[in-house]
Amino acid sequence: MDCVSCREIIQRHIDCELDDGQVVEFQKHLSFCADCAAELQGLAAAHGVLQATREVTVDVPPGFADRIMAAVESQPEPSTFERALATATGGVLPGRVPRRIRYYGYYGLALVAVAIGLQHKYGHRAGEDEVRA
Amino acid sequence: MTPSNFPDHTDLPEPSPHDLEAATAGDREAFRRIVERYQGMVYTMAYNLLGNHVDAEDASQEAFLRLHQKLSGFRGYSTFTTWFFRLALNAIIDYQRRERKYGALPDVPEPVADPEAEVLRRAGYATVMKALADLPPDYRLPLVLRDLYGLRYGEISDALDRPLGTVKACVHRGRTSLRLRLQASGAIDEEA
Repeated sequence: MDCVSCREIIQRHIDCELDDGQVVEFQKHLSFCADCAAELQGLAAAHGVLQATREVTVDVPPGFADRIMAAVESQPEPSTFERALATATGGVLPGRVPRRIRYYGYYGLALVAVAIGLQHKYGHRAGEDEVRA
Repeated sequence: MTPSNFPDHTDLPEPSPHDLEAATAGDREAFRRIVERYQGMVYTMAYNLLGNHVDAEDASQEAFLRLHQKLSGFRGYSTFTTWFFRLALNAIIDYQRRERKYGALPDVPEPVADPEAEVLRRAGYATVMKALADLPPDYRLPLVLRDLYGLRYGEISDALDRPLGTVKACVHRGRTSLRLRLQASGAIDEEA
């Protein structure tokens, strides 16, 4: 393993994505490469700091809930359509369709377009054959 | 997208079924109790992602307005906290995308709770938030979602509407940049 691969592996190690074999290779490299070992320690420390930040709750500004409620009061009641849409989508905005689901939609549309094209081309020819027969 | 380990780092009790039902039916007092219960969670998330108080308050307000509109969509398939976490996260990301207020320096608060972790005690929350806020937003958001909130890469890709490979690269570069900033500020050792 060279240092370039090791830097990539370090990130995957922090994400706990390495298998046992990769860990052995990785440790072997770290045992003689001080630069990569320092990189690992630094990244692990930064990662640890960020994880520890989870425990912190930021103090909300005074009157925060009052301002939220005032904003809610100033909103018109959701229409029947909006309530129905929220119920139907489980609260997910229509524009927030996950990328991979959207791609399935695109693939589906592409398949339909190809199917229509084939139908147009060969279906027409089949019709001509029928007339000829 | 289900937040992977969000429930692991919150002790928030669920709102009562009565409050949820009443708030859905339009009871303002019941909705207020939900706001008061979740304001810390939402505000902290907005502050961690956006890096300053002005945007954190505006984005949090949007999250609660969206909750008010969408409450009838909660069906109980997950806990309310998990469902609302996702809703609030989307609202904050939409706010950030719309406002594009990149690079604002944070006004740093003192944390309410004293964190247990020695490393954070040493670094200080304010220092960490300053280092985070200095990161380019393209790195900061995926990094916070991954390392602070523990979302999976696929979940971050869906939430930010960016390709999986890009998200991974941004998290990796964000970690490296954060490390350099924390080392430069003395929050973590040069050798560490």
